[in-house]
This record gives sequence, structure tokens and C-alpha cells, in this order.
Amino acid sequence: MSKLLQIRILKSGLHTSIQDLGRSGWQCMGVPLSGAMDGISHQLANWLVGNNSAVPTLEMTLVGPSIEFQGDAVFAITGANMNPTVDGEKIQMWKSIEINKGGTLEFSRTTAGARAYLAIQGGWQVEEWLGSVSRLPGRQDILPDNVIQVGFVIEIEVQGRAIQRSISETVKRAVLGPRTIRILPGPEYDFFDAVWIKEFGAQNHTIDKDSNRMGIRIEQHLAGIEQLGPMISSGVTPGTLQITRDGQPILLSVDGPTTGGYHRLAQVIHADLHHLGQLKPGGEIHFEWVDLQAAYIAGGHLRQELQFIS
Amino acid sequence: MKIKPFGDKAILLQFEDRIHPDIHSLVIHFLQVLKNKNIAGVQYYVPAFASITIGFDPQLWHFDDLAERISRFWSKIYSTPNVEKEGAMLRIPVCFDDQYALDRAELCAEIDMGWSDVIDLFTSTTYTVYMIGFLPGFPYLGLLPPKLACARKGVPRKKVPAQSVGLAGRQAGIYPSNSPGGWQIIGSTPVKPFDPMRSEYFLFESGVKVTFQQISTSSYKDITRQLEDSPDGVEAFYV
Repeated sequence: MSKLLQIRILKSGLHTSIQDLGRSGWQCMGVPLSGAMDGISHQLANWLVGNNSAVPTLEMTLVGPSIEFQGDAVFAITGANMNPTVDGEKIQMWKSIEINKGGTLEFSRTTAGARAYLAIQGGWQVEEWLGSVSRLPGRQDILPDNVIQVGFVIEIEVQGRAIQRSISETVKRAVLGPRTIRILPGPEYDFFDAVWIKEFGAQNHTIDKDSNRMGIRIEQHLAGIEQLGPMISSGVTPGTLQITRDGQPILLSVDGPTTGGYHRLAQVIHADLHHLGQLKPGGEIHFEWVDLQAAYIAGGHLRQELQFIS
Repeated sequence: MKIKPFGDKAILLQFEDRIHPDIHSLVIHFLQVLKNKNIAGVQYYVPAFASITIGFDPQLWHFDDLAERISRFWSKIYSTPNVEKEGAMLRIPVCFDDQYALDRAELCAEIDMGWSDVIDLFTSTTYTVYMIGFLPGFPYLGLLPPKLACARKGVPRKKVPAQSVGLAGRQAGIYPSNSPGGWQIIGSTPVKPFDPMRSEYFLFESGVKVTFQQISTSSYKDITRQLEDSPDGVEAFYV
């Protein structure tokens, strides 16, 4: 028998939103993919509570919310470590946890990573648009309740199934991994100076404060970019690394545009795309140039590690 | 046409790299051919001025195999004459009055033309939607007559009002939402390029032909009211 669980937001955190796997197929209309920025942590959280990976989770950014459970529930937290507690007691991440009616789940500032994901067992009663619960950037009129504010109540139809799952250290390592983002040459790679390209891969880079779900800016300005000449706008996807007119590298993410007029230096391999969700403004990032073959092998490894959730 | 890898889960079809109606017709034609093939594992297409980006599932395809498949389709296209189809045509009403024409003075000075000449030339040209991008539903329309070609604003506007009609380079565009933007704003349309209240959310798609028709402020208000009452009334603007 199912019953309706209500969770109430006591503190919103810095930027907390309801996310899923996003919407595909509308890119030709300029609609971004959206969805969880660290899609793997999102899926693992859902697996821990026995939900399908398409069920929404709460994506919490840098500083997490406080949430009151108005009924018994099973939840799990993955991704960034925001030191979660239940009624003041420290709890484990990467593990299914039972909470009783009246319990309060609290998060603080992250100590590792940028985004944490909270899955709660059951069917979330959340509005969708074009097949996803994710807010379209710049359009507060569509899905107005999917970015969380104080006082919001989310309703979840709970089945009440007992479940005890946890994520092994091996999988956690494969998912969290070293923070090196592997990149492939982008469509305009040949426009760039070979020495500069090599240096770009050898250096450590700092992530600009002005980074979000649309894009991650790198604190660097490449000189001489105007010599590259004009470019005719063309498609871009999450993981496209473009160099702006003033020479700044921007790594586009899930809410980013679908077309752009900047030179596309590189593209993040698909096995590393989820890492974008864990990059912290002010933190460091390191890129490694790889080839297509290496990219497909890396994708195969990741899928093998995650076979248990498919 | 060159087929290039675009990461490990997308392919870039790069046509001759120019903004030209013939190249764009070929883009739209080949896009339709590919869509009709219903290739399993292909997730999306992003047509642009002289390119098509194709997203695919890396579990089902490796770049080389999909590239080979696509080049086979292309070789058949190339030997087939490209028949120009009669596509849909939209006539978009635009009010060029001062409260909407935010960059009137700047534009007239830059291209050294009087305002009524700008409006005449702009509304007597037929445009093609070359690309949808930048914002959901934002159409890139081309080509502007050479006399109307203009630079983007030196300092972009922090907030361009939704439904503003702007010019940049040899293109026109219509803002579907409030957004920062650097296009020179010459007017506004009461017809929303993107409206979640309609049964068809998006007004434009790549390849569609568009003309503009001048309307007065009072007519702008009338059309706005009519479309608020019945959002699907936009059908009236198809010619």
C-alpha cells in the first residue's frame, strides 16, 4: 500500500533544484539537455533507494538545505560531501538510510565536490515539461517550483519497501575519480597553436567564480585569439570547451546553449562528463588530451563499474 | 561536406563554411534524409548555417561506424539533384515604434540610412530560418540586404525584452525570452517565438521562410490580447 510522504524545506541551501536525466531531442529548437549535472551520482542515489534512474533527485550546490520529513522514508545521498546529519547526528553517504516521521535532514557547506544528490524512495509528485522536471534556464514561468525555496513541500508516493544498499569503495573511486578531465580535439582544434594546446593540457587551471549549470569558466585569457578569424555559429553540447572572443576557455554544461559562435577547442569524453558537476568555483582543474580510442575504452570501463545499476 | 568527430558521442557534418542560401538548403535537405532513415542510437540533430551536429549513443555507435554510414547516405544525395521544396512561410507582424526600436538612432547612424528606408528594406525582404539556437526558440534569420548589415552593439544590453526583433551582421533574430544580448533592436513582435501555452511551443524551425509586416502600436496591443485569449491563434500568421 502506498502513502503520500511530504518533505518540507526549512532552509533552501545555496541553489537546490529538482533534477532528473534531462530532456533530449529538443536541441534543434535551442532547448538544452538539462538534468542532473553529475548524472552518475544522481543515478547511484536512486539505485540506493531502489528507484528507477529517471526518478527525480534533489541537486544541492555547495551549501545544502535543511529538510523535515513528515513521514517515514528511505533516502540516500551521493556526490559532494556536505556533512549530512539527521537530528544533529552525523550520517553516512553512499548508503540507504531510514528516517522516521519528524526527522530533520541537514546539510552544511561542502568539503569535497560541488553537488550532492538526495534520492528518496518512491514516486515524486513533481511537474514535468517536455519530459523532464528540470527547469529551463531563464524561464522561471515554466516549472516554477523546481528550484527550491524555504517552505516548499515536495510530495512523494512511498511504497514502504525495506532496502539496504551501499556503494562499494571501488565504484566510488571510479565515479569520484581523480579530477582530471579527459578531452578530445574539438572541431576547431587545428585553428589553435600547437604549443599552446600542449601547455593547456600540462597546466593546472583555476575555475572562475562565474561558473554554473550553464558553463564552467576557466580563469585564463589566451592572447592572440582574434587571429583565429570569424566563425559561423554551429552546434555545441555539454562538454564542449570553447574559447571566447576575449580568449577565455568555457566548458559548456547541461544548461548551456545548443549553438555557439566561438571556436571549439576540445570536447570532454563522455565518461568524464559527470565530473563537471563536481567542479567548485575557485577550485582546480586539469585537462588531459586523449584520442577517440581511449575515450571509448574509458566509457566501457565506467559502464562496467556501473553495470549493477542498469 | 566533411564528417568530423565532435567528441565521442557526436558527429559534426561540416558543409562548405559559408553563410549562403544554397549551402543551407543542402543542410536542410540532408537533415531530412537522415531523419527519414531513423538511425537507431541517434539522439538529436542540431542543424546550423553550414553544419549539422548529430548526437549519438556511444554504447551503440563508435564514431567511425556512424561516419561511414552517413557518408554512404551522403554519396547518394550528392548525385541526386536537390529539388527545392515549397516550405512553410510565416508573416510576422512587427511594431517599429520608438518604445520598441531601442537602437533606432544607433543603427541609422551606423548604416547611414533613414528610419523609414530601414523599415521598407527590412519588410520587403524574404528571410530563411538558418538556425535555432542561443535561447530556446530563437531564430537566426538571413540574409539581411547588405545595406542593413550592422555590427553587434559594443556593449551588450543587460536585458533585451522578450519578442524584440534585432539585427546583427547579415542576420535578424527574435528574442523569445528576456535575455542579455548584443543585437541592435529595431522593433518588437506580438507573436511569441516560444510559448509554453501553445499546443506547438516553437514557432520557427530551420528552413522556414519568414517575412515581416509593419504594424501600429494599437494593432500590436490587439494582437497581444488575441493571442493571450487563444495562444493557438498564431496559425493565422502562416501564409
